[in-house]
Amino acid sequence: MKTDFFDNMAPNAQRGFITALIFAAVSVALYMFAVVPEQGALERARRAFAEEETNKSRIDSILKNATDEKNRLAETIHRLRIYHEALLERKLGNYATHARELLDPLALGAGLVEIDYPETSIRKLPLPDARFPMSPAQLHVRATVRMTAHGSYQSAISFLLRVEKELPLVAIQSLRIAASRTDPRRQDITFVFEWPALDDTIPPATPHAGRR
Amino acid sequence: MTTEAFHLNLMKNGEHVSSSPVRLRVVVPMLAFFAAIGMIVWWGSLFTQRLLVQSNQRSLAEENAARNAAESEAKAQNANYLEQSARLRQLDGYAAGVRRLGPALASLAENIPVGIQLLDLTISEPGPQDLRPAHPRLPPLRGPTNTIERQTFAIEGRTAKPLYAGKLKMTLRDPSFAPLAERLTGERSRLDTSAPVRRNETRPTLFHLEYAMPARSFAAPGGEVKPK
Repeated sequence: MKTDFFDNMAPNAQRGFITALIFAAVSVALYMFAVVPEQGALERARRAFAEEETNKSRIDSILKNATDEKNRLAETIHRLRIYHEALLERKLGNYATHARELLDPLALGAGLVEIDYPETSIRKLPLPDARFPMSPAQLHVRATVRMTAHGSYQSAISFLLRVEKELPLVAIQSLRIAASRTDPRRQDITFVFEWPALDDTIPPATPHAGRR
Repeated sequence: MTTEAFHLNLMKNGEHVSSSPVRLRVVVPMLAFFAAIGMIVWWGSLFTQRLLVQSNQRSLAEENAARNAAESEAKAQNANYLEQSARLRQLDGYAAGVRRLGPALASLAENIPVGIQLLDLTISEPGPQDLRPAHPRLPPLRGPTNTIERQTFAIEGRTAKPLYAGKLKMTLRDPSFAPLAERLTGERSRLDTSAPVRRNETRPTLFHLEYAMPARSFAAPGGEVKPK
């Protein structure tokens, strides 16, 4: 029936029909093999461009904050230096040696005698609290040093006042002043002092590489 | 002579078959042709846009690549800042936990009631630190998460009259002793039977007072946790 329709056409109409068919086929081919792939390529190019733009704004933001952050870092390092100068260090494998160097002049000046520094355990410093959950790669501890001595109550308190004045980051963890049974003017004195110190008992954790 | 009617026939015979011969022969091929041209124009437009976008993307990528070194430096600086500030927070927490007991202990020597002999004065050791992880399979904590420590202050003495022990309790209520004695948590007394007494002499009393000290907080300023 279709053939009849085509056969009944005038020859010019038949040529026109065939020409139209050819152009239609060319149009469809162009759409399928040129336009559609090109649309995909354009979409991909736009995505890549958007990605680069995101990168650019991220880098802009990082570089914009870098100057402020440099100042903040300098301030932080300056504040840390105050702590670092007060850190107790291991000398001859223990903290007591360094503590003895610092405390002996004050204790002798206050009139304490028979001073000794037995080793004590180390307490860990609490991690930064929940509002600041980030824990540093290098932790610090409370290095504790026990000091035993003999002297009067006044000597012990005079020594303590000197320590608190001269070594402001040294805290008293525990204390015992007990009257001697043999001499009422003589006290058996035990101080447990604590200092901040670097925690060298565990390997440092992974630093916060590029975390924001 | 007969005259045939004049008829100007401009159509060819074959064209009489179609009801609209011009549409078939000219318009449809033209429409198809323009559709093909439209496709080419469409593709050309897309192609041009793509070239433009790719060119912009390339120049942006080059610009970003040129700033990579500065970005890496800024990232390293950021990581260093985070580490240093985390260290500082921990040490600030330590500084917040430093307390001055010297003035209160010095004041105690000055204000202790006459008639009392101090035998023992103790600030207890803090409790053990809890470094257990939330789950047994996890490694131990790198540090305690509790920032509060509690200790007690105990005072033992001997007095001829128990009244003096009461005076000492009143003295310790003074705000100047707040760093030492926040709240009385226990007291006991007994007669001192260790020393012999003369006739008509009362036996001295040994007393023991125990106070809770103010909680020691290692929370850095700005992140303080109130004692529970």
